[in-house]
Amino acid sequence: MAKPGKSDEADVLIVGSGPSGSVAAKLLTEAGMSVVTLEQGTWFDPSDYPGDKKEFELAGGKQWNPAPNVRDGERDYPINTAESDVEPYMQSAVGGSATIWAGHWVPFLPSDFKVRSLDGVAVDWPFDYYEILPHLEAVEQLISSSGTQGNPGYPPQAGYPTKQIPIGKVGMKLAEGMDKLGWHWWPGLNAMPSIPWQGQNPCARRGTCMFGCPEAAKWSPDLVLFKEAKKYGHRLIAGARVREVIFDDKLQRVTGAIYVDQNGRERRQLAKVVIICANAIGTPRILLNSRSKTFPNGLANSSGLVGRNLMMHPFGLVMGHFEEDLESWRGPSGQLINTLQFYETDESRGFLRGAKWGGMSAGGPLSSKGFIGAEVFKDGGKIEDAWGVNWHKMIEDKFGKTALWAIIGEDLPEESNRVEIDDDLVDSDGIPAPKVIYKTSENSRRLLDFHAARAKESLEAAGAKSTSVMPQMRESGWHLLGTARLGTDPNESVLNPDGRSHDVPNLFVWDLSAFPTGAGANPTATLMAVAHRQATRFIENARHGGTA
Amino acid sequence: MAVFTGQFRATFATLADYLIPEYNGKPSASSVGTHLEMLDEVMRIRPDLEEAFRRAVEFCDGKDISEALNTLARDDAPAFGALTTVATGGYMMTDEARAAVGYPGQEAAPFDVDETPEYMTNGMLDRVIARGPIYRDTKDL
Repeated sequence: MAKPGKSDEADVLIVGSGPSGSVAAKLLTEAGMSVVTLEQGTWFDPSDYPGDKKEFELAGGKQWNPAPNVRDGERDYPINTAESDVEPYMQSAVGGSATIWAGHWVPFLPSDFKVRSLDGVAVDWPFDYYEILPHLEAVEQLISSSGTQGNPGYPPQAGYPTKQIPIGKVGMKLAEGMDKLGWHWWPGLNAMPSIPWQGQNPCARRGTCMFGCPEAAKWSPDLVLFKEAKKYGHRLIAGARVREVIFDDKLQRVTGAIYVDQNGRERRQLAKVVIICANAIGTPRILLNSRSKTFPNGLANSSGLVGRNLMMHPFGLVMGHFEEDLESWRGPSGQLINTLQFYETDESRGFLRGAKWGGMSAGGPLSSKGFIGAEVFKDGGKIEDAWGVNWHKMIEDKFGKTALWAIIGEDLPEESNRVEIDDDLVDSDGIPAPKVIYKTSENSRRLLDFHAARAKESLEAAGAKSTSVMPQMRESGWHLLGTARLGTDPNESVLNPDGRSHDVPNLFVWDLSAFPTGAGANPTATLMAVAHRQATRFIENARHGGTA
Repeated sequence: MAVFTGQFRATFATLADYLIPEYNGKPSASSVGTHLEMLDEVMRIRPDLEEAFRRAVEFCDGKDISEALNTLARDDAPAFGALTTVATGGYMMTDEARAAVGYPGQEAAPFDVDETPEYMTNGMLDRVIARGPIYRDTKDL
C-alpha cells in the first residue's frame, strides 16, 4: 500500500461526487478547507454521450443503461438483486448518477417532513420545509434551473434563474386533460437552463437526458461545481474505489479511507473529517465493510440501522396514444409538466401519502417496443399480434403520438427493506459487494393503482384514443434512500440532524441515505438543499471551533 | 468484431422481413440493409447481443418461420429479444425507415425563450392559480 505523509491529511475527505458530494466540495472548499473527493468512476465527456447519435437507444440498452448490473462497466460494482422487487439504478462517474438523471427538479413539500405528525406513519424529520427553503433557493441558482414561478403546489419561493423551457405539444396535450378535469398541473421545473447560464448551454430539447446530455445543458456536478471548487484548491481523485473508512479504536474517530486506484493499487487518504456521499446502497456498503473492534458490525452502526429502511419510489407509467402527431420523441425528458393533484394523503383512497406525476415525451422508436413489445407473448398471444404488419401499424398509431405520465409514489420506510453485504459477491477489486432485499409494500401497490387510474382518466380527458398502463416497474430504481437515516434518537437513527454519526464525531453522511422518509417526488432538489444546509452548518460550527 | 456468413445473413434477412415486412410505403427490413451493413453496425454498438442473436437465427434456420419464432419467444425470450432488438435497432437507424415514419432523430430543437406560451394566454394556467394552494402547510406544526 502507498503510504501517505502527514501533509497528505486533508481537512475533509468526501466519498462520492454526486449532487450532495459536489455541494459539500464546493461549499467547504470555498470556506477555506482542504478537501479531497474520492470518486469510484471517471470523467465523462459530453461528446461521449449517445443522445445526438443514431445509436442512442441501442446504447441505452447496455453501456448507457442506468442499471449497473446490466451495464457491468469497469467502474461498476455488482449488486445482488435476486431478493429485490426493484432493480437499483446508479452511475459510476464524476458527477455520479446525476450524469444520467432526467433533471426533474421537484422539491419535497412541507408535509414530506412531517409524515408522523400529519399521517401517523414513519417518522418526522428533525427539521422542516421552511428551514430547508433558503438552501433550496440557493441550490436552484447553482443548478441553473428553468421554470415558472407561482406554482400553487408549493409555498411561495424566490423563483428560478432562467425562463421556462417550452412544454411542447406533449406537455400541452397533458395539460389540456388536467384542465378539463380541474386538476392541478404546472409547467415543468428542470435542472437545465433555457439560455446559456453559468457555463451550461441551453437545453436543446433532444429528449435524451437519461443517456447523458450531449449538449452540456442538463446540470450535473462534473459540468459546474467541481470546476468551480477546483479554483479554490479542491482535489478530486477519480477511479478511486473506497474499500473502507479507517476507524481508530484508540481515538474513537475516523482518520481517512483506504481506496483502490485505477491501477489496482491500494492507497490511503487521511483526513480530519470524512463525509460519505456514495448513495443509499454505496454508503451502507462502505460502512458495513468498515469493521473494527469498536464496530464489529459496521462503522457507525450501534443502532443496527445501517443499511435498513431502504426506500425506492414505486414507479409506474401511464401512456396516452393520440390521433395527432405530437412529436413525442422531442424533449426535454426533463419534465414537460407535472402535477401534485393527488400528492397529499386522503385516507378514503385506501392508502397513505401520495405521488407526483411527471409529464414526459415517449422517446425514440425503440421505446415503442414498450407500447406492446416482445413481452406481449407472455399474455398468451402470438408474435404475429405484435410483429409483421401489426408492428408497422403500432408505429403508425403510437410512435410520435404518445404522451405519458411517469408516476413517482412515496415509499414508506420498513426496516426489512435493506442493504447487506453479500456473502460471496465482490467487485473487480475484490471488495465485498452489496445485496439488496426489498419488497414493494401493499401501501405502495394501492397507491400506484389509484394514481394509474387517475392518470388514465386525465389522458382520456385529453382525448387519447387508447391508453397503456405499466404499473410498478421493476426497472425503475432511480431513487435510493433511507439506509443511514438522520434523527434525534441514537437508537432510532444513524445520524444526528446535521448528518453526523451518533457514534463517531467526525463521520458524516450527506447523501440520500440520510433521508428519514422519501416523499413522493424526485429527490435531487431536496438532496442538494439538505446537503447545502449540512455544509453551511458544518462551516459555521468549524468557525466556532467545532469539528473540521 | 462479429463475422457472419452469407447464409447466416440470408436467414436473418428472412426473419427480419417476417418481423418488419414492406407495408404501406414503409420498406422491409432487408430492403434497407438490416441484414448487411446495419447488422454490422448494430453489432459494433451492442456486441453483447451477438450470442443470443446467433442462437435465435440458428434456431430458426430451416424451420417454418411463424412456428419457429413463436417457439423461440415462448422458450428462449432472451434470444427472441435479441433478434427483435437487432432487427428494429438496425432498421430504425436507416434514413429510409426514419423518413418513412416521419422521424428526424433526436435533433436539437432551438426555441425562442421569450415567446409567450399558449397556456399563459388562453387562461389554462390562470385557472390553476385561481384554484389556490393545494399543499398542506406545516408552518404551525
